[in-house]
Amino acid sequence: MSLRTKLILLFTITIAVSVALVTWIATLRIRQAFNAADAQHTAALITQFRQEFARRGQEVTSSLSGIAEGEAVQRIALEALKPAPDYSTFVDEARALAESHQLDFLEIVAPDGTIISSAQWPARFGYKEEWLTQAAPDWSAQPAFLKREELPDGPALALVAVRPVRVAETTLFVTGGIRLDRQFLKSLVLPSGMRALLYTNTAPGFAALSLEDAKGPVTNAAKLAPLIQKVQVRPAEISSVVQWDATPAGSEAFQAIPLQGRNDELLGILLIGTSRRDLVEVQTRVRNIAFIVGGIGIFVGLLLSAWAASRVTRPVERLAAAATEVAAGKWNTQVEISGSDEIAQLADSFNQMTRELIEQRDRLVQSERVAAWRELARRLAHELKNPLFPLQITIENLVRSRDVGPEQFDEVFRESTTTLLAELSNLKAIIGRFSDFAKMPTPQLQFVNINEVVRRALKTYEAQLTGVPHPSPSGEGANRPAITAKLEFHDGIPEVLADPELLHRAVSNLILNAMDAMPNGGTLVLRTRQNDGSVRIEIADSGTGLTKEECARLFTPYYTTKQHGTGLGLAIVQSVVADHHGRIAVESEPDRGTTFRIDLPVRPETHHTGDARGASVQ
Amino acid sequence: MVAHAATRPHYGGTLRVESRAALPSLDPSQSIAPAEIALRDSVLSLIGDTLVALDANARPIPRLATRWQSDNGNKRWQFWIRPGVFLHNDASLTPAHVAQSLAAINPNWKVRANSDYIIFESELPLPELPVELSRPSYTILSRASGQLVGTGPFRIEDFQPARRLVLRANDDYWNGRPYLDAINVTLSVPLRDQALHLQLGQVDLIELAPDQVRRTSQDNRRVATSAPSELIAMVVPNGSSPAEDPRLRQAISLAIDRVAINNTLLQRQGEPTAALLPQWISGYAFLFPSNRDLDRARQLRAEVHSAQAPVTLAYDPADALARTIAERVAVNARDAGIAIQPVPAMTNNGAAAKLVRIPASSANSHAALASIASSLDGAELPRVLTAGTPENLYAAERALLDDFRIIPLAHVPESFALSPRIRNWTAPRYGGLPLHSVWLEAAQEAAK
Amino acid sequence: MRLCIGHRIRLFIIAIACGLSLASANADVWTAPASDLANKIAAKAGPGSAISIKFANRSSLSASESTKITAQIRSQLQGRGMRMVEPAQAVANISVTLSENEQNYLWIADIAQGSTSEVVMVPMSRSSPADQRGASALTLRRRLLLTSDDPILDVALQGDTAVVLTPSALTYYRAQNGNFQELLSMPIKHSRPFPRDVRGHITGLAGSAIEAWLPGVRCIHANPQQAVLECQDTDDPWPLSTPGVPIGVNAFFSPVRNFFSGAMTFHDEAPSAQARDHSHDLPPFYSMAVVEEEALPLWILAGVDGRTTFFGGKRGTQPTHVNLRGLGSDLASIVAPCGPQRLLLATRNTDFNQQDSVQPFHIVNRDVIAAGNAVDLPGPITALWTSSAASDSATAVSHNLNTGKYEAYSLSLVCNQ
Repeated sequence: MSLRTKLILLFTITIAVSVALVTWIATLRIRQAFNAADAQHTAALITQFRQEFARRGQEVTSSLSGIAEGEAVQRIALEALKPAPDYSTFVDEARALAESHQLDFLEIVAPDGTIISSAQWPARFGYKEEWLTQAAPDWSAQPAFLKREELPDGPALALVAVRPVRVAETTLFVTGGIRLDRQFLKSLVLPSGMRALLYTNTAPGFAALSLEDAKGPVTNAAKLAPLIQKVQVRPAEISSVVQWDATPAGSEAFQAIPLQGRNDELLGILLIGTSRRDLVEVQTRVRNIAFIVGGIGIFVGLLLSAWAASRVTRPVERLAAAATEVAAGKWNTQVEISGSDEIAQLADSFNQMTRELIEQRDRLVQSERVAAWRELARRLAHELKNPLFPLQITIENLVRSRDVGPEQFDEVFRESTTTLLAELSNLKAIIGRFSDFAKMPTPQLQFVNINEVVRRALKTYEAQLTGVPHPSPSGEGANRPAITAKLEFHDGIPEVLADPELLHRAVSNLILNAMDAMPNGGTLVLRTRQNDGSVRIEIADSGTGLTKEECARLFTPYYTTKQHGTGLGLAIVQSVVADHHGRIAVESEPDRGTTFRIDLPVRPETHHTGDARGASVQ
Repeated sequence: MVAHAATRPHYGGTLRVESRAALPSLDPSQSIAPAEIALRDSVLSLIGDTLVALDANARPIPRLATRWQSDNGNKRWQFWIRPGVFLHNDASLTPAHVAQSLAAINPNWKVRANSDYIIFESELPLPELPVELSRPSYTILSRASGQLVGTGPFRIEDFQPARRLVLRANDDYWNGRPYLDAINVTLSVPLRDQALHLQLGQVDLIELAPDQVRRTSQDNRRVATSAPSELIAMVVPNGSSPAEDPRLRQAISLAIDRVAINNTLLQRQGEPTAALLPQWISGYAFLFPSNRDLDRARQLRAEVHSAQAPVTLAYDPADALARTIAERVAVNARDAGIAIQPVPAMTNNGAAAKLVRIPASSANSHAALASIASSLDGAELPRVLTAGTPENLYAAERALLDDFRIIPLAHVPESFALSPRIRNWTAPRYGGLPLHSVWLEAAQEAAK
Repeated sequence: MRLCIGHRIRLFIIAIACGLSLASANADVWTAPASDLANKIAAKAGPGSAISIKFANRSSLSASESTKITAQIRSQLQGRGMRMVEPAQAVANISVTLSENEQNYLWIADIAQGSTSEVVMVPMSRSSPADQRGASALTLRRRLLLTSDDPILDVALQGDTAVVLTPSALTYYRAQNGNFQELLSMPIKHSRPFPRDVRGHITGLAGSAIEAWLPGVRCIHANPQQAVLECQDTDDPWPLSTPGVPIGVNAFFSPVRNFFSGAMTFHDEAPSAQARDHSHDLPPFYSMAVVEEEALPLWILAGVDGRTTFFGGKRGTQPTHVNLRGLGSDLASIVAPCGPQRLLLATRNTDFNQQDSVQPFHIVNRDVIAAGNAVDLPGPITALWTSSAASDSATAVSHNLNTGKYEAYSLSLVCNQ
């Protein structure tokens, strides 16, 4: 993860966390504020309901007093004074009076409790209202109260009052009031998000149709059944939250207030509902704003962080890029320096370092070139000196033989010329090898079975492996201990596009090296196997092994650990491998043997990728 | 300026009448709702004549028939047709016209026309045929041109069902031109609107429900009231599942407090009854006890073991009194444990029972019972017609009421409020609109 | 025509004796129906049974009549061997109700035997003598001349002869032994239908000839010895002359609408400076009377529009239209025997289905001032004519609301009463 990414991530997380924190705190505060406001509103609404209730009750009482003192009821009262009163003409009086006084209920009741006229149920004239005469309190002092009113289409909840009408010894009753229904609920001034529901408790248990709000029957009223049933069991104020649907906004808090009649019977339940929708909407709004602010913040943060990062990281990146270039060998890389801060100082130091590196490399190259030349001179001198010395001896012998007889001379001459020719041939071979190394042929690619190549190379040295005297460069033959060759070939190995002769030469050199590394015998293991897109050849010996320094210089031309080596064997191997776009590696530990690994691509790439291929040492 | 009328009949003027009836058809051969019959009968008496009229004692007297006779045990009747009578299309009224007209009303009758009389022939004796023919349903009308053409004092000028009916005086009416030039009847007007229009002077004659009569009189308005003749009854048609058990229907009948309905809802204008015909028409209505017997009603209700679905009782939504009566019946029935649910409906589609108003249409007991029976789908019509004696008539009425499919509640008068312009209002005792005899007070001009 | 259906005019000389009770005479009337009912009861309950019986009267029969009838029924039942016992011992409990309907009295017996009940009925025509009530009482200012089932249009008295005009006939009656006997009846022929409230007027011609005017028809009975009434359609004006008034009046009559069109001719029957063979178009009117104003004839017309028109008098031919409160549309004039002043007789402003009355008025400054008490008549007044023969009487016809009959009265003023 780049520094820039880290920086941007850091910025973003910081902003997001900040916004989330603010949002959460805001939401929490809002919820608390809402709860407080809801509690206040509910309390206010209950107060309003009670006040409205009381006000309506006073209105009802006042209306009834007016009706009781009115001319129409007085006429009825006068009729009541007659021995056999005929109330039939008054049967419609209540309806007209109720309409004129805007009452929903009105009954004019005879002294014996018989309904003379009923506005709410005109057909009930002649029936008795026994509750009026049986209880017989001082009705004139009684305030309005809740009462269950029987109507043709079922009972209803009413706020009623009773006013007696006394004429002489006779007392009529005027009772009436208003219906507590959706119209009453409509008259309540409700804050937004609140509603009032009225449950008319006409029968035990819960009846959905008895529950209505200002708009009419409540849908899905059954959800309120538990709350209502609780109040039915124990009439008291109870709160509850009802979840109307699965959404957070679908919850509503309810406060149930029992409405009781004159004898404390439960007649109705007022339910004040406070919708959580506003709260949720505000919360959602806050959250949305937070998202927007957060998004904008993150975007701006990204810009800022990008700008800041660019200010900080661009020089670092340039340094990193320069370092990479340097690592890739482009040592003359320079970093542009701007400003005078720490980065600029770092860049200046970097530039200084690369300059010094180039100078050191140049010096190293120079010294290596000198060393190589020295080594080459030494090697060349060494190689040339070996045949020169016999030449010198032979010639000296030949010169000396001029002093002996001709027969001896002839013999000496003959021997000397043979030796001279042999040494000259040796010299020629030495020169030829150097020449060959100088002009390695271009690989002629064809599909080659690696196993075959390795087997053929091994076969070349089979005789030496089994202890057959090995001609030494000095011409001396000696028996050497046997070397056991083990072939571990992968059968399904694919054919490789390669030059078989060059490969043969490379593998032969390595086998030869291995044999040289095991003067006392040992085990030579030849392995082939397939890697991903490449083929590996391993040639391992159980010989003396190499030191790290030897390993490091192993592929240097003309470097050899052997007494008589030219130092070109492994150089040739590396050259062949490189020409096939392969890699060669060596793994060795002293006294534990050495393993060479050649990885050849099945299909060598067209372009040479440079130094990435070549030798590696472990 | 105070208007002063003259007692001498004044000719001319248009009488403006309003009715709540829709009057879908004037043709008596087409059945209409019972509540519409009263107005149709009145109109029929204006646009046509019957063969026979009834005198003050409800006995038949000649009208378009100058005389009649029967033989063969009242199975064959001859009616001589009055000469010199013209239909409104100026055609002379012939026995053939009369025969066709009567055959259209009652296809069961065999009526033949002769030179100056018609002959009725029947397999059953028809002892009261002249009385039967006095019913407005048997008004002689020609339907030749697809329009109703009568011989009456008025001819139809314009008729739009449920909207208006305009009648124009027949100057050549054989029994004397009517005083009015025209009668303009506006149909389908609610009672409340009628009262308002009368107050505003926009109409001369309106209908009154019984409960309006006393109040209207107290307002110093002219009120004309007949004897209690219109039957208010609860009718339970055949196949009415909630009230199919006759014991339940009897329980309903016994539970109803008819006296309270009459005294209070009908403002004592009517008579509580359990009979089809009012006492003054039949003379025996008291034999049908109308007392409330709640104990017996409860007992009968208990005998009907099945859980009872509410009996829906349909009433005319335009009739406020009908609604109150239906509600009262429901309240009474509830006392006996019977659920009745009043429902507003123009017809009794789907309702188990209906509240109906049926006019008597005649002061003659036979004619009145035949008229009521025909309004009740005519099931007992032949029996009524063949009943020649009061005992038979009583038996016929008893048969109609025995299964309690008809539960009579009250007989109420037909009542009208009249503008001061209307003079010479001489309605028969059973009701109806005597518009052939009224005249309008002349229009006033400012005194000089 | 209505007269051909047996509704012959029945005339009664008005006498106080007419009010005699018919009840005792009718006692036997109930015997037959009582017997019928007893037979029916016996058939149901069984002859000789022990019965309990109770009676109720739901009819218009009086209590005394009811008592007589129940006695009759009891008697008839006992005559059939039935014993009246207490209800507890009775085989049958019988409730007899005296009821009625529009056509009949109806006696109904409800016979309860055990849990069963049977009903028997006996009808009895309501046109029985018991239902025929006597004529109305008289007052001293009115005199009932005769009654009729058919509308009486006018009555002219010529000594002991009464000429009665109805829509269908002109009939002569002669008073004999307190009753009028019909002498001669001549049908009136006409081509067009008469109006519903047909009007007619009898005027005397020279000699004993009688002229009858009906809507669109003029009939003349020229020779009293011959039953020939010549009727012909005519548009001629009706003569409306008043005895003692020197100026005769002829008024055109609208036969369809049944009122005078207002087109009138005035002709001099005695020299006068007021009007002489002049024609005038006055408003349409129903009836007319003449009084004097400053010794000049003043015609008073009851207009069809409810107003009263004065014509003549001191204002000459300039008509005056006024609304006179309470006056009806039938007017006549009459001279009181105790004074030369001619008075106006006028009906009240009532309806045709109400009782009406006639009242004399003075005309003072073209307003009416009551000159005496109103005379009530038993129903609406269908005709009021100034007598064409004598100035001290007028003829009024009332449609009795109780009996349904038309009653003709002679009205006269009696002084100091």
